[in-house]
Amino acid sequence: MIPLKLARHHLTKNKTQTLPFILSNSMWVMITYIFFSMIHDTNLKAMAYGTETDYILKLGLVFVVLIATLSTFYAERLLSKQRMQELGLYSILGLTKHHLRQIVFWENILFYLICMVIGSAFGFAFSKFAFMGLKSLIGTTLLHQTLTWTPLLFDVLVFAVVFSLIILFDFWELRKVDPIDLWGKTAQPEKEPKSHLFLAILGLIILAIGYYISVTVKPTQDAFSRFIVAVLFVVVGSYLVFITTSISGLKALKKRPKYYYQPNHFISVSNMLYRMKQNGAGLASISLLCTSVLVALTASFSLIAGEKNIIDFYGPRDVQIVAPKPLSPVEKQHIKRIAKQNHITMRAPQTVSVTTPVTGVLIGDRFKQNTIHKANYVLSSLDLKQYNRLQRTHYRLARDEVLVYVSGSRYDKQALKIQGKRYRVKPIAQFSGAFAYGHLMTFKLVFVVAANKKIAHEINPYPEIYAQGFNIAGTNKQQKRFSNTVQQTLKVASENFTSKPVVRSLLQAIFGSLLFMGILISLVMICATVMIIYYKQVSEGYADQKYYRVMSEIGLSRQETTHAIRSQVLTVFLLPIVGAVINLGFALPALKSSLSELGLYDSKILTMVSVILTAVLLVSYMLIYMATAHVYRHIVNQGMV
Amino acid sequence: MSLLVLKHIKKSFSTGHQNEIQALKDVSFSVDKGDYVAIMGESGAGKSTLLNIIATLTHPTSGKITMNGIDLSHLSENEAAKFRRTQLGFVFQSFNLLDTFNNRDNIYLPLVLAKKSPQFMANRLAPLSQLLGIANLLDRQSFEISGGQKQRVAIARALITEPRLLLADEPTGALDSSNTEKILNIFERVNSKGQTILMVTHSAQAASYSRRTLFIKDGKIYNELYRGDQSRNQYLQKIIDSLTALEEVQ
Ligand SMILES: Nc1ncnc2c1ncn2[C@@H]1O[C@H](COP(=O)(O)OP(=O)(O)O)[C@@H](O)[C@H]1O
Ligand SMILES: [Mg+2]
Repeated sequence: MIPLKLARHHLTKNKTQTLPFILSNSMWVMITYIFFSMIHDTNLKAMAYGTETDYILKLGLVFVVLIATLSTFYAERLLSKQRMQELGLYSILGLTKHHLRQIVFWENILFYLICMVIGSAFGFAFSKFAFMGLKSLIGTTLLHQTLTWTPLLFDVLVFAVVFSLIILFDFWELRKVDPIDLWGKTAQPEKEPKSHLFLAILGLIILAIGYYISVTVKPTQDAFSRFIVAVLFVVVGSYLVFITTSISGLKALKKRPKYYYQPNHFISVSNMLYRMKQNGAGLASISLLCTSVLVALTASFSLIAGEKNIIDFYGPRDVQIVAPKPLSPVEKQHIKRIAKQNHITMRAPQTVSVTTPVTGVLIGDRFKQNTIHKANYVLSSLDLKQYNRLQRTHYRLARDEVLVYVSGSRYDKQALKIQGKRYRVKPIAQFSGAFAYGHLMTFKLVFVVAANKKIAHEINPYPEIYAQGFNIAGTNKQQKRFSNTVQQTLKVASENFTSKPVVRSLLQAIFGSLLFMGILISLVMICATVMIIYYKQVSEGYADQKYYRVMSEIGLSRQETTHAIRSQVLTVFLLPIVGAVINLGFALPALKSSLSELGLYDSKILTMVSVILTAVLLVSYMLIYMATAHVYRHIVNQGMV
Repeated sequence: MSLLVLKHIKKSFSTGHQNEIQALKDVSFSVDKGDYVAIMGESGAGKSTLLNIIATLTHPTSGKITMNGIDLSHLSENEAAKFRRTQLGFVFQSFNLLDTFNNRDNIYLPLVLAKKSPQFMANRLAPLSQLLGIANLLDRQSFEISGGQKQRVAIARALITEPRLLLADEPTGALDSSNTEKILNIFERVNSKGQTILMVTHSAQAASYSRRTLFIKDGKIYNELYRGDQSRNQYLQKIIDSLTALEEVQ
């Protein structure tokens, strides 16, 4: 069969172009296999919080398949010019379009088979490692893996769909062009891109709105939904800016002779115009992919790094029960009995009574009560005697004086106005009785210490509640069983019952699987980036061949040409990363607000994690770029005398 | 006075392990200032190789080449680039215009690289675009015009630096006869204004516009014809005769 032979010939002859394609696609087959295997071959769903973990993994799977498909298409598009030229030659030599379609078909079938074999083999081998990684990240010993054929079946099906789409795409590319000018497709130059001033400005505005929303998101309950809105704006804005604003900007530069007719500007402005036209959408996509990975990794690493802070936010003791009155002797007996049954020792009991917290906002130094959806603080009050006892301090307060504690920050105003009265403030940094009432993690906690109970009730007139807690010792399993039994026996509503061992397992399951997914997705991203950069180097090389030739005739040495052109190629490569870093910078405030919903208030952790991740990304990106630059040089030199 | 002098130029390409192609065996000749020299030969005779050596795009394997007293065979890459920028103009069969520029900017390219002001460039271009008949094409993209027009734009780019030597490799090779004639007339005209031209061609008609024709075969110069006072047709006839004679040499 001639088409099959020609397809095989193409695969083996153009190793420099087919090998990266095979490698990256095999990588995706492998990672998809691992995801399927983790979801299907383990008893993950049966675990505590397994539904959440399962959900997170499925989300990751969708993301991976999406990235794999998109970047494969992008690479195909980069190479399609060269490829169409070659096929055009066949058609001039007498092959019909039907034959060409067969060649393309067989080519992709061969690619598919090769990638499936390599990818599943490695996927099979690595799923064991991945399983062990997931297990240790989630922190459970109960997780099992039983290998079945189902993941492989799913994998085969998913990529059959992906490759079918690729084949259809290639067919469509073939249909678009007449066999006669197929041959000339590379030679056919592109028109100078048009300037769309309206869209260009619109893009900037949309992007600015997205950034503005992100920066101004308040840590209230709708932080996350506002974050999503900001993301939508940034996505649309990024595409418009990369596609139109860049071109309009360059065109404006071109209209200024004094600027334009300088050796460096002349070459770079005119070249960038075309490069941006060809690459705008692709660059925007890379930029957004990099952004999402940066944001996802920053979030998951920050959560893991801040896990202890989050858990401590729930309350001061391992187990805590919040109730409108103190525990009765009977209830205390129950707790003691359950502790004994579960081999738990209890230590450091503590009871704090505070007024029922009210939600509200702080406007300057005035606390204004507000509905829960428009609030970012919860405030309750207590008397000085309790505070001094808990903290072992000896504060004294006048009737119009209060101590103010704000979680995660310091109250820096001179006074506090509340319930129509004004109190002078002594800020305090410590309050070991602070707890998140009703597990409301979104709010900053404000505790106001007044001179006596009467004044405390003037500040917050709601009834007193009792937060009663103690620390426990025992194995993790015993602790959790003890906690659950206590809650059930005393019939405490879940929002009034806190058990840190239980919370810790939940967080570990969620954050662990988030990080696991983050790592796998970053692998995919790195692979996608390498592939795209590689093929971009190839296509840029072909595009620049003639340039080098002409420039050398006109009297530019190869170094000078390299200098002039490489700087733009580099710009094209760097733009998405720069875009991603800017996006991340603007995403951080919103991210901070959203994470505080999960109880992470420490913005230092967030900043540090994002700086480290950005640096890692930049360095690896440049390494990839330099490692692939030789392909470009090789192609360009082919075009020289 | 000789502008360009070539002495015993040899050029060989190594292909594979042992094989060596001797593209030029022993070429010596000189070109005077104001001359218009055509180099003729069949495809594969070594014409382009010779032109590339004169253009300092490649180095000869041995021999000496000087222009204006400067030894070209040992220029470093940067020196060679500077030499090309200041002293040479190029016209090629395939035009070699850049698609990223419009025609005006294609022509301006060498002057921009020489850091000339926009005013200076416009002043240079005005008479040249009149001479070449391209004044109304300047704002179009290079792929929006015909082959003959492209070649005239390419000639404008080559001449705008007022080079000492204009090099042309099959400048009419891709053109129809009426455009060929236009280009050759232009060459004749700029030569009459003092421009030195060295043109490589395999077309006897193209060579007949020159003042002098060199015949190259198998990497050697075999023969040389001067036009002198002859009419173009007489000169053309002589060139054809020489070519026929050359074919019989083995
Ligand atoms: N870069 C090269 N490598 C190997 N051989 C070459 C190279 N360039 C030219 N040649 C050989 O040198 C000879 C002369 O080529 P060329 O100067 O292009 O001929 P012409 O321009 O007269 O058609 C040919 O046999 C050609 O194959
Ligand atoms: Mg030639």
